[in-house]
Amino acid sequence: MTGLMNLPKSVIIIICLALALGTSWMSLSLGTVSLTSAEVWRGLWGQADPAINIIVQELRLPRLILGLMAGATLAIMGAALQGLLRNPLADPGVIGISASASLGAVIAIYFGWTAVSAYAVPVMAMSMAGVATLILFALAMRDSSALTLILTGIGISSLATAFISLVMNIAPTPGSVQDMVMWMLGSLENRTITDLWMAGPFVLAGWLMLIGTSRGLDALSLGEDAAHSLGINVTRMRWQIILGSALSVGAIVSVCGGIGFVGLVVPHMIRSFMGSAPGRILLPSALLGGAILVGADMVTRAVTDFGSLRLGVVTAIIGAPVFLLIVYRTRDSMR
Amino acid sequence: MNQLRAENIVVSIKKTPILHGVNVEVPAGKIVGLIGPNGAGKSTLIRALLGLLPLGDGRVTLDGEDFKNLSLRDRASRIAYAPQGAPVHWPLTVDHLVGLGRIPHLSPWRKLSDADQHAIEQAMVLTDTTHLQSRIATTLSGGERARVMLARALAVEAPYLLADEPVASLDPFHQLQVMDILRQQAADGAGVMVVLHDLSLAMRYCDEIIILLNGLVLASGTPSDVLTDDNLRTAFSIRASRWQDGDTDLLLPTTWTD
Repeated sequence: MTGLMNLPKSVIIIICLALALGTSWMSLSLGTVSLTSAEVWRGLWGQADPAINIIVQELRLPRLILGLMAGATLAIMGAALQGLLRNPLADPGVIGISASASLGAVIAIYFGWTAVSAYAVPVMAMSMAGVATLILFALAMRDSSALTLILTGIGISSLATAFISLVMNIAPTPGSVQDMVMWMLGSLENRTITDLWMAGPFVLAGWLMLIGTSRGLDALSLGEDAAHSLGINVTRMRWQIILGSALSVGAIVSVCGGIGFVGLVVPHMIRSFMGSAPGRILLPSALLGGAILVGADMVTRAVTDFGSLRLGVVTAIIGAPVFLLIVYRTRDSMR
Repeated sequence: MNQLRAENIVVSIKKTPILHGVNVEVPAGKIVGLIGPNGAGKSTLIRALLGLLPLGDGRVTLDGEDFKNLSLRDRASRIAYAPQGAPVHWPLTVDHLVGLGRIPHLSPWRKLSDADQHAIEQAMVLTDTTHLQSRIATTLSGGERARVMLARALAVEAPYLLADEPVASLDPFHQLQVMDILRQQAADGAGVMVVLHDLSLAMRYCDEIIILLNGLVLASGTPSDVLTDDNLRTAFSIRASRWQDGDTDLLLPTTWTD
């Protein structure tokens, strides 16, 4: 068996869509102020009490959309990169863009630019993600193998992490180090429409670049030569996926911070329900990724005993055991 | 005449010259055996015929058309390729894997048609893999996997088939079965090129044989013209014992010290 079962793609899509819609609705309803479904509905259209309108439209809706966008992006890009690199361990961080975005954010915090503008962190993070993308393309542009790409990504990631350590090392106050660490643990707290507008175009561009790669990723299961012999332009597909994930993941990390495990685990969850064809799991991964991230965000809002629980902590604590379980259940076919 | 043809092709990989001006033809309806010692450039020649490698010189033509003028998709639907070693990187089901052979024929966003489905079933029947269809390809034995990969190539239903060592990991029964399938493909009109190391199989099954040595064609023609003592000695440093079993010419390689 591939995994636990082998359901048709349409069934999986419907289930994942239902999960995404269900968690979304709960995310709009639940919180410090619990709202009924009717209140949420009227609030969405601005026809409830002014206070409820604000809660739904300005607080919960941007956070929900950002959560869906982040979860879906991390999961679909994780799935695409795993397929492209033919490596079940790949995640959106593997090409080094996430760590580079974090470096940008940490630099902004170090220089105190957060006091100047609330958007200093995301702008710096996006800039560093852009620089890292250029470095990645410069180093791995020519007909490099999947392994070269992974190694280049690891190199960029290590370099960014080294500089993050440096910045933390020389940080002026313990408070700013704490700010840096907290940022890197990821959050959707206090995100506004402006964050959405900043990340949205890059995320959308990244998503659009994946169009048409599904069949090519399936063919790539047979290796690059065989995929090419089936009429797939492997080189073009590689850069579509690398550039697409660099743009979208860079933008997501810039506004949400580091959110681990979603990009690694969600594709494996989908595989265990519908088989391993790398192209077929893209869309279901996106839907489930969105649902899971919104669910994890609700956990951070519900658990208030420890101050603010960070999103990346919750996804990792849920994700890692699930990952171990899947590895255990599919150990026979993963060789 | 319909044929896949390499005209004086020169290929280098990472600046190391591999093929130094090779002329080969794979005519429609014929099965052409490509033999030669390890490192002679056999796989490189196959990959060059597929357009996977840039040519330093010369050209590849498909039914008279220069390969450069054909789209990737056009080439893909006309030349099927069964690579050496046949890797599978994900635990796909066998029917899905064989179905990948239909990719050159699919328009974007379309599902498999009845014709596609029929081609997949036919390919599995031919390779005796129908009973494996819901198995996971990564859990198959080496021989089963080799036949599944051949089924994947046959599912393309291309007029030309290039198979790189398709019998390397097979037991004797399945070696003969695979060679029979390839011969049947040729009988049905396909041009087949097959890389072989087994000289007796080459002798028995191929209409034409090409010996490649150090990036050059040492000899080409019918098996009896090519598999001469001189050529075998030059290419492989071996000699051959020969005899007949009914109508079948047999050849057993032996070393000079035997």
